Amino acid sequence: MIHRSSPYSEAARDGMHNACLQKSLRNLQARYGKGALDIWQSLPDPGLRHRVKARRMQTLAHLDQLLALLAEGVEAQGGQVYFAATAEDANRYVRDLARKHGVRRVVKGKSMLSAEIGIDAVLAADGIEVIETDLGEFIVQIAGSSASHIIAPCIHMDRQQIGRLFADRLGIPYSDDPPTLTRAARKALREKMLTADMGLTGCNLACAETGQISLVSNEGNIRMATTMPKLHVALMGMERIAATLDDQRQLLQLLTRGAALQKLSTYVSFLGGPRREGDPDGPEAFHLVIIDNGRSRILADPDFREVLACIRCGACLNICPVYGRIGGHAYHSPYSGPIGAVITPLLQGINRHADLCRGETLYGACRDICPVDNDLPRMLAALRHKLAYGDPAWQVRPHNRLEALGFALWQRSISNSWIYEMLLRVVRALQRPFVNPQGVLDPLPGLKGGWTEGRDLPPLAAVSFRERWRTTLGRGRAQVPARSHKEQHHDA
Amino acid sequence: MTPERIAFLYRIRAAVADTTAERLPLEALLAPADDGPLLTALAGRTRNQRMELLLQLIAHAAPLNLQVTTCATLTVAAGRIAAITLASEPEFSGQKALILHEHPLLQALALDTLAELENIPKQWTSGATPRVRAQTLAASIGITVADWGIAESATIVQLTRPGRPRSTSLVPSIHIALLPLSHLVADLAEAFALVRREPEPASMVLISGPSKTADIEGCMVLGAHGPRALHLLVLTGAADAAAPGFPVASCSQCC
Repeated sequence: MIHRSSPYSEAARDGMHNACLQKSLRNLQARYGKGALDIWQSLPDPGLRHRVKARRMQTLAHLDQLLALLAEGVEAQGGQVYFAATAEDANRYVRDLARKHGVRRVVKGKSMLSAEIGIDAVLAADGIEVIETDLGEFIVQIAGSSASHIIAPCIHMDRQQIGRLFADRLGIPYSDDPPTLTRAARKALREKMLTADMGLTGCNLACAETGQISLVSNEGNIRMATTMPKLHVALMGMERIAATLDDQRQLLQLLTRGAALQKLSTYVSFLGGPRREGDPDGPEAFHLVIIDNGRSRILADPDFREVLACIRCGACLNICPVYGRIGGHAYHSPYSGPIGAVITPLLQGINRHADLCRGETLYGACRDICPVDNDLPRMLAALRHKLAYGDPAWQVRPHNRLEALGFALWQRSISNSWIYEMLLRVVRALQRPFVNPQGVLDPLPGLKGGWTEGRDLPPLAAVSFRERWRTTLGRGRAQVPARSHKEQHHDA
Repeated sequence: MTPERIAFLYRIRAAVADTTAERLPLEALLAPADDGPLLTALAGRTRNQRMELLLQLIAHAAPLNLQVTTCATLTVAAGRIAAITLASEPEFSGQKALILHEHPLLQALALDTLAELENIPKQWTSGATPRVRAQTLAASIGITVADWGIAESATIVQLTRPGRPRSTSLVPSIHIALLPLSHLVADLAEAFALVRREPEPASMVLISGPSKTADIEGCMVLGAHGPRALHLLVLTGAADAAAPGFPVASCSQCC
């Protein structure tokens, strides 16, 4: 049971009461969730997703060699590679680069990893202006909010809110017309992108064979951020690598289909170094920061390794019945939805994010829609298991010892028919005052209130099936052969 | 290798120690898929088969707001560029201006000789960075030649090369790309088979339509940060190639 005042349930309640969010979520799920499932079902090559997944797992098994090869390839193109073990390590490296190059303004391409490591605050503390350039990310940035969907960051805001925000922050006359608002942001951000000293992006998928990273976008902001400033820094989660160009191609095609039903996004950029001799544009320096920040620990656990096969398309958000009601803010992480409910606890602490895996339904749609066939429900259940019993390897303490004790007692009592029937008699006596004229239980006091407030819970029957079997139903019928009466009771 | 890199990679090695038995030599893991059949198919493709691909390209371009026109001759292409230019509205700077990749095909268009474009500045992307940058920012239309086109997804492939920078297809409000029909391939796998034969890695971009966003209430708007319109002029080579039934484009975005 989720504690009523947890940040998760509070944000979930806010999400459920946000009419604009509810409408957007319904539209999103109706279009993109169903659309992605349709695409997978009509793939000319139905084995594609399973083959790609097997290749992802094989790639992870060779990750050390492939990352070393990627780094060599980038360096051969004149780029620089830094391996950062932690968020602090990565932030320090980028901050020092910014200091060395006298950076005053940074334009960002959409990157969840940048939010995971908290780079914005580190750069801002140095007096650097950090600007999101993806329209949705820009909107949530100037609103002081946070992204609530992996690819549709401002899905929780409507056009009127955005219109008021732009009137206030961009100094334009109020409008709630999306093209007018987009043009206003286009103008304001173009100025920033052309005058920034550093472009800071993520990395969708690198390729060991070519020594290049790839970045997808529809808006063109990532092309701007990687072309116009003198310096390009790409942050890469260490698992986001394909071995060959062919692997990269298949993964990119699954990524853009899963994310937005596109055969390819409007722009797919491939880059691995600074501008070359004779190139009139492109950055003078390119730095790739490959980040662990807890990923090697996930890699080491065979139960959770497959979550590193994820390519962050966000399709699981577009079909999840829980995400579809509560929205992204309840997850308190750059990663929301089913993938967030698995990856966030693994990266940031299983106890700290205990509500996430328990809030999901294990309904299984996230697995059906996953382009790399990740078994998220299995991993959610594995997280719940750790919370129930504790796991020193992951520093998980049992979430609720009382609950564990209760279930242990329950196990004892239902495996002994005498105790079980005694209990039935006791509960029958105790429930009597709460049975109302409609024949269901009134809301019960205390902890049980959560179960009975909004539900009609029938009382225990006056005579149980077992008792009826013994006294009337079973009389004269053949017993199951070769089994004693006593054994049957134990099976029951 | 620096100590932190060794430590980083060692941590990964230790994490996947259980897979040691399944590990392959790196050459086996990286063995590329056999491109042979793809390249043979490409080499043997007839003009009629390419025209079939062109029809696919046109069908897939429509929902992406990518305007495809077929041009039987370079003169037709030059005329089309003039028409797009005259009908356009400059967005960022007050005047219309063209910037063109330094490419023999674009030089052969001889736009300088067109009376309609007489008063419109035309610049080439060759020379020093500051000059090219300033002229790209001042241009309202960028003109490039695609390395390849992909029918399956209505995509153009552009490799960065000396004199052919990335910003030409990005910074101006309108992008016009030329594509010789012989450079049209069926799908991304074919395109990558050709990319892999490039002598050294260059930065590359795949472009499938004009810049767009749906971040405000899912409402699709063209022209988020890149060009708000993309025109693809497919050069069919012979005067009879533009068979009846091919669309004669009129652009709803900028005309």
